[in-house]
Amino acid sequence: MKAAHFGAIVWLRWRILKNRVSRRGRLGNTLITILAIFAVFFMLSSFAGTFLAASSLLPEAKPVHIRLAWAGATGLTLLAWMAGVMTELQRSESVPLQSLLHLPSSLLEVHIFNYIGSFVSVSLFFTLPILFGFAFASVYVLGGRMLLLLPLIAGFVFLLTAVTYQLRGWLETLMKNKRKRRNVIVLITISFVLLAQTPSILNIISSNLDTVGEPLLEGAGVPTDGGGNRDATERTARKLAIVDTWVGRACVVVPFGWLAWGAGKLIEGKEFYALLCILGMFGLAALSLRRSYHTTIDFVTGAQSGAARSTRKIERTPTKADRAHPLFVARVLPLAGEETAAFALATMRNLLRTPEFKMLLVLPLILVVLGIVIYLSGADVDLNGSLRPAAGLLAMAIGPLSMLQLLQNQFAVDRDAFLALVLCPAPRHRILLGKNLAVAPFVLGTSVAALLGSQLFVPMGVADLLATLLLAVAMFLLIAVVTNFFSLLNPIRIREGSLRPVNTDLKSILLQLAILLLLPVILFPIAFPMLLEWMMTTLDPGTALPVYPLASFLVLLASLFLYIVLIYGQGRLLHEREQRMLEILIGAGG
Amino acid sequence: MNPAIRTRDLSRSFNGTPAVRQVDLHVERGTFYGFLGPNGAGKSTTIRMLTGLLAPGSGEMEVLGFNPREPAEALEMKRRIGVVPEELPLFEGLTAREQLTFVGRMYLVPGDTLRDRIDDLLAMMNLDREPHKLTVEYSHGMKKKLALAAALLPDPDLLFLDEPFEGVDAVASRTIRDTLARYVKRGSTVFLTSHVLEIVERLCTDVGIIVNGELVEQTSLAHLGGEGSLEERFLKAVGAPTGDQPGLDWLGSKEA
Repeated sequence: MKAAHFGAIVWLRWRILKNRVSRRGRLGNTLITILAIFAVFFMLSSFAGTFLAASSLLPEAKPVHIRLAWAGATGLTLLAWMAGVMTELQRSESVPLQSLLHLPSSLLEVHIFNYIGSFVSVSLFFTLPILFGFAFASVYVLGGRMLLLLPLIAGFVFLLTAVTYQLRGWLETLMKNKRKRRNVIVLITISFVLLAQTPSILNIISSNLDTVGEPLLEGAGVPTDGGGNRDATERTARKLAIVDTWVGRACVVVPFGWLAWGAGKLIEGKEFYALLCILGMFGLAALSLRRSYHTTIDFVTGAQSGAARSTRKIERTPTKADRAHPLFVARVLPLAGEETAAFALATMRNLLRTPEFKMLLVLPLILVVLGIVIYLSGADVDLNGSLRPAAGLLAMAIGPLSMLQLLQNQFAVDRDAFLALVLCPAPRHRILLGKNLAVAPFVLGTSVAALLGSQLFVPMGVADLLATLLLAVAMFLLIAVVTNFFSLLNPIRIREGSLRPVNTDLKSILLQLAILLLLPVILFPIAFPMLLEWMMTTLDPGTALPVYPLASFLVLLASLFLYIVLIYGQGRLLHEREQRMLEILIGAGG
Repeated sequence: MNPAIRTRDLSRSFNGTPAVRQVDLHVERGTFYGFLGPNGAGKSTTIRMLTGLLAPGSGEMEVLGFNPREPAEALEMKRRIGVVPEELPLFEGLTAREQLTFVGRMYLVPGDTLRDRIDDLLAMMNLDREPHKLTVEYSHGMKKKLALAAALLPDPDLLFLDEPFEGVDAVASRTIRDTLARYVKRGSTVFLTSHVLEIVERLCTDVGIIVNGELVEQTSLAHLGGEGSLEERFLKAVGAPTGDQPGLDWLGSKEA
């Protein structure tokens, strides 16, 4: 009976995985079959490839190379595993323990079977062959003592799956509240995105280790000579020494690194440390599973029930005094009509509470951090007088670019809100205007912040700076005109709680990409004042005419005119297409 | 005076499969119209077409004398109707009060009147106890009540309600029923779909039964009274089998 339960849970996980990939029609199924064959081929070939490559390289490899290779393999497995966990959390298709508790099995059985079932994971299918290929090659080349790599890998997988299982149990309890659920998913996604940037940042740092590596070397206790005269080989060796020292320290501190650390100790002939790593990983994994089992018991006995935890005190109802402070959505916007203001403020308030929008707001920060890292790592900016606004203009583009995904599919983020829009008796151009006004502070705010940030590195005069601020507004208006058209003509349904498209056809995806190709054309008018001034000063170096500010003002006026002329037509287009858009974004009725 | 709703040969298909077939509806003003049908019969599709949420495939329709297919008339119609569709039109990131404020402003309800109405509606629907709770945190029943409050807020002439009592607790259900009955008595019209035939029997003055996209029955409940209960009439209209069903002999036998 117990074997039958275990079989049923493994089958359930497998079925969920299969249904997820085979949901896309006949063509999709064919593609998935091809991908499955490719995956099996990939697994076998990655095992064989790793084995052969490692067998041929290991005899010549130094211990530092082998240690770093194990650290790399561990990092790759962790990254793939995290991607898999994140996808499962987003899809809500994992098997929550609660859905199994009513079945005729003991709690412990359900707990253990469900945990073992969690091994049915795409990321493990892809990464385990690499780890085992490397381990078997090590045994083949370096001798029988390397057999300890196998329990090291087992301990690593046990630790990884057990900690994930505990974390997921905790997250699932937390995510019972839908609002928290979306915030958790976004936080995980942001962490993953930030973590995925680490290789690029490390790459930038490592390519400049000669200049920034000395402090690291000193910190690592390696004697330094100030980075003076060294040949290429010595430089590479020193870089490796730095990386090895820091990676080694990280591996000791983070238990997931004990596989790489233990492998390193095995190479040095210190089997005792490898045994300690194995025991440590198995021990931590067992503790993790024990903890998650207790969480399950707490859940069943009600010690952690939603009722017990989420009892909120009853909040008082608003009094007359509260009425003196009008709601944000009730405020009046100067020059905007009642409906435009209502729609803009409601959309803005809604967006600010939408986790996926908060995630978009983090994107510019990542771009800025990357920009600063690139700048600090040696980029030498040297622009002559007329072209100095170029840096500011480029920085300013971070605003619309980082929110392009939202701007070109504006009605999809909150589908139910779009339904409210269609039911509204307001003229459609006012709704579009409200939609644009709702995102304007975020896009313009990001653009202006990036522009002011660029001033620190490539400063320009006050007049030019003010003119560039005018161009920021013009840029937003031009982007709004184009993205309004894209939102109306190519609405794409997105998964709830994320910005990922659902069942999108190729044409829609190509159209989304087309906007990227169109961007230089759209943004050409923004660069026009700078180019005009550059031409004028080239032709007549003595000209005193403030070409850049004047041309910027004219570009703003032209953009405003274009926006006003087109918004009415776009409103009519929205009216004509709103029912079709609703069908796409919400789905057909029955 | 024009009827509240009039359709002629109203049809709509999805990917070649007909969902609504040549429906001729006639709903007089001041009636409480129950639109009945089994799951997937075409009730929601019909409501979506009548409220301008879905373009019809063919046929004509008139709501409060306006043609929802004409852009200018569609906006006029929307000013006079309230809708609680199947998918609830709520901003997930707003509180109930913010949601209702937004709706009121879109219908150009004056500030003071709007605040009074919102207070009344939130109290009636028992949604005023957690003012900072966002819609996304609401249960389905609470969302339904909020959507109904939003539909009532502009004081419309005609209400379209798609399963308004689904997931709503007994106390709120009673309040909603009383409110709707009072609303119709005043001369306004309600067009509602519901699976709960007892509610329809208690509230509605007229019923229409749609099966497989076709309107098979349209009559007043008073007329129906002499021909058995609404449930019997409904089951007969939809062709539901009656009596004990064959199969499932093992159920309750303790032999499995």
